Amino acid sequence: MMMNDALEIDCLVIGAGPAGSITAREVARGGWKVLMVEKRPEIGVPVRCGEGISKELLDLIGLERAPSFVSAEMDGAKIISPGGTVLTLGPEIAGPEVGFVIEREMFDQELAKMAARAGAEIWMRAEAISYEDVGDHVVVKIKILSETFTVRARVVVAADGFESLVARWAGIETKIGPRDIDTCIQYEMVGIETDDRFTEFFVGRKYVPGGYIWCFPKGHGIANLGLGMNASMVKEPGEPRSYLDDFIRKNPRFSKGKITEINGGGVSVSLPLEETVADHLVIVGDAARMIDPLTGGGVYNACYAALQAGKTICEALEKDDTSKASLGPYERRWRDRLEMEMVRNYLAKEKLLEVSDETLEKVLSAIAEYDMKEISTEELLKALASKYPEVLKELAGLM
Amino acid sequence: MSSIPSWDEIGCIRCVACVGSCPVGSIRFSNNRIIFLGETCTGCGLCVRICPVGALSRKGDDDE
Ligand SMILES: Cc1cc2nc3c(=O)[nH]c(=O)nc-3n(C[C@H](O)[C@H](O)[C@H](O)COP(=O)(O)OP(=O)(O)OC[C@H]3O[C@@H](n4cnc5c(N)ncnc54)[C@H](O)[C@@H]3O)c2cc1C
Ligand code: SF4
Ligand code: SF4
Repeated sequence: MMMNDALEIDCLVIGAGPAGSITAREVARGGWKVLMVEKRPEIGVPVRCGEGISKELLDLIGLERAPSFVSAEMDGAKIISPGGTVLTLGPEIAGPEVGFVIEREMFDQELAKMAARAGAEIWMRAEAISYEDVGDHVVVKIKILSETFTVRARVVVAADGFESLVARWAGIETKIGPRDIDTCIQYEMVGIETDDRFTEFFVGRKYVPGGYIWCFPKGHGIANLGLGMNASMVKEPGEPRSYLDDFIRKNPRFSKGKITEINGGGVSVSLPLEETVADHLVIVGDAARMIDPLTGGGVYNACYAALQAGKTICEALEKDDTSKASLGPYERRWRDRLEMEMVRNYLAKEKLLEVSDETLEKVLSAIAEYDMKEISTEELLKALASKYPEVLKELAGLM
Repeated sequence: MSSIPSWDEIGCIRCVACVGSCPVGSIRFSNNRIIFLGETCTGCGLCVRICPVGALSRKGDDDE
């Protein structure tokens, strides 16, 4: 089916991550002609993810839990303060945030297969290299090895992840500053001591300035040990890696482990793009800067928005109008559910960048003294106010 | 232009953090390689700081 004449399709999806595959699946299910292009030789490889997802996500996207991509099930999360205080968040609180530790490349491949089964065409090693809006549709050039193909699509989905160049080609500003970017490095390690029912988060400047270190266990002494660091805090090239190595060296639980994989990535800890639709274009997932700015988790948001994108694109194609106005409902649909929390967590992230380790220590130990099941945020604030009034002042606006 | 960073092909983990961070969209990840589109690079150095493993450096800093 590949030929040198222009290929005419209803919907071109650029990028086969979760955002791309779910959007492609939804539009293909609507009966439209969909092509998804992915420039990497294998979907999801190399992994750029801590691989922690919520249980709720599988229901959302209608994917059956399978051992091929689920490595371990979590009961909750533990937050470890600079002084070593452990705050345990059980399922009642951590609930939707932690659920499974997965094999991301297998997960992404499952989603791509769902898109293919729904009827979407997939081209691998296929890189979108140019974008031109010609009035009633978009012309995109796709490069596969040494050949270049021209695709004409009534609507394009920019699902190209953190790289986010497609939206830029369409004239949308996607630039974010260093304070809104976390740079990450992660090792998969074998032979370490893990807490097999809990994800762990080490917070505070002592471990890493402006970020945290995570340990997401996969069972059998295997875990993802990773670090995210606010780019504004980086002084020397390669610092994120040095901080992670230092942490591992100093911690007897991890120091004897062997590294079996090294990966990393960039994470936006920003507000989402102001506009995520344009004429004949919808921007979904990391490309739209939809990652939660506090936790750095982005798979859920990408999938949620992709479902809304799929629905909106089907409606627009049905109306034979893929103008910005016709695609407009997508904005409201994803923002209604995700934006408020993103804004709140963005403010929390901003605050945390300023908080000292002493303050963090006080807050976490004060919270740890309470049974979180029984205490409301208000009561907690009252407790903090009586014990550490100065801390509450510093934290104003955070909770 | 001497302000364009240089890329350590072997040290790079293909994480694309640099690509998405460049304020002017001057970096591409294509065919498993990092490519600098020199003409728009301002030499701001952000990509060098962003790279988690130190695979980017300012030209001239190479042989320190
Ligand atoms: C180190 C790290 C840890 C993380 N940990 C977690 C976590 O534990 N839980 C969580 O929920 N989220 C986590 N995230 C965030 C999560 O990985 C992303 O939010 C998620 O991958 C977003 O999916 P996406 O489909 O938008 O983009 P991606 O998964 O990045 O997919 C984009 C795809 O587009 C392709 N592409 C790009 N440009 C082109 C082009 N021009 N032509 C063709 N194809 C192209 C890319 O090759 C890529 O495959 C983490 C991120 C990082 C970096
Ligand atoms: S130095 Fe600045 S402008 Fe040049 S490639 Fe790096 S981030 Fe982009
Ligand atoms: S940030 Fe560094 S490791 Fe990641 S792709 Fe760019 S050069 Fe390679």
